[in-house]
Amino acid sequence: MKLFQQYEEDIYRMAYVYVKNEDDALDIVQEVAYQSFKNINTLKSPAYFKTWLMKITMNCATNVIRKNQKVIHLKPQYEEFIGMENEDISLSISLRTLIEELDEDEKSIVLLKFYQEYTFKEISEILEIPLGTAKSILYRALNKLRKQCQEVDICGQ
Amino acid sequence: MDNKIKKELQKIEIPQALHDRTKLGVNKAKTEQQKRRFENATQLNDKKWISVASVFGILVAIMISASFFTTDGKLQGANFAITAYALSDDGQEFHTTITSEKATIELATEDRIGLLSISGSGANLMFTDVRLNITGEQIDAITYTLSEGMFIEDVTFTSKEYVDKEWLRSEKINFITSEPGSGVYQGIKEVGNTYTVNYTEQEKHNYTLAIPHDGNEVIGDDVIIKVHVNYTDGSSEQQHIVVTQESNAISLKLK
Repeated sequence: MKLFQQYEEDIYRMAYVYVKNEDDALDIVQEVAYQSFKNINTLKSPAYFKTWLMKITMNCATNVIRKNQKVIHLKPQYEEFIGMENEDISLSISLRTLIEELDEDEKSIVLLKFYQEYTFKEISEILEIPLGTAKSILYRALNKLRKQCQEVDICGQ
Repeated sequence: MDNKIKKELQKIEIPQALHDRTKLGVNKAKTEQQKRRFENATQLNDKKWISVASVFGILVAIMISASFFTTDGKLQGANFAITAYALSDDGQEFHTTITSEKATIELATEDRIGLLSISGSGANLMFTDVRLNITGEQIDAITYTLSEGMFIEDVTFTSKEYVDKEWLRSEKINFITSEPGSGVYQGIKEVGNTYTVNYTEQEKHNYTLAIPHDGNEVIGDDVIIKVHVNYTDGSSEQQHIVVTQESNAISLKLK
């Protein structure tokens, strides 16, 4: 439990980027806790515990997104970001860009690279994709983010 | 760009419910894990502790007589109700309110494989996955005291903790199992024959009953669980649960 708690905030934030709302993100945290404890015996080495959790998180998030695609939201989620008067504008735009503009595969790589600080080699192993593919997806994602930043002229390089 | 992304993500607010949701997930897995472990285990260890694998059904349902309850569902004679939780054969948790009518819970006796005793107070305990919960109003804390046996908790820990035998002893963790190569260990923590829990924190204490047994399914003496409840106004009440061992079951009723 203590081991998992070290990562629960990371898991929540990663989940939030995918599903864009607190309720689903919390559902994912609960599911990741359940799945990880249930399948702890499949973990090859304790050194991979964090990586293993991140992989479960992304799988759970993807499942939730697929499930939610069948649901029509009455209110677009991005209104949460537009309506908050006191919110730091750079936070609002950057988070919104990350959450709204990137595809799921792009989010995965951006999160693993910049939030979890994995190497490309590790990312390719976690996502089970070729190294070159990981790099090209990240390049594409960063271009999207840079483009958005330039449009609002707030991102420092 | 990279630092900015990390900073931005770290500003996503963490809801207060996060920790509780983690616990819910872990507890669900633990419950299933306990059930699986009991089912898969096949060998009794040399100290002759006997584990009771799973509770797979209430043999005799409690005949809840209206006379035991007030109109709003509270027990007469005491202002709190005691509920016993256990697992069904398919791993689902079920519960039943304890009254003066006997509730018999059938147990499947299985043994644990590859067990290692670090310390331990002795042999001949039968593990059940029965835990108790109290409901009532204005309750501050509850103290459970077993006349015989002890409360135990299934715990999970790392290989780093595993090599720290002093820690294992101080935590009173015994009967450690591990899947080879996983680096993750599971054990049974001795809580003792009594413990006190705050009313609002009962979910955090998944302590289950381990009761004396001689290893040959011979019925032992009844075990009494004293349930002492302290209320926020300083008053207190208590009820006693009689735990009777039967050939392959235990029964619970109010004394």
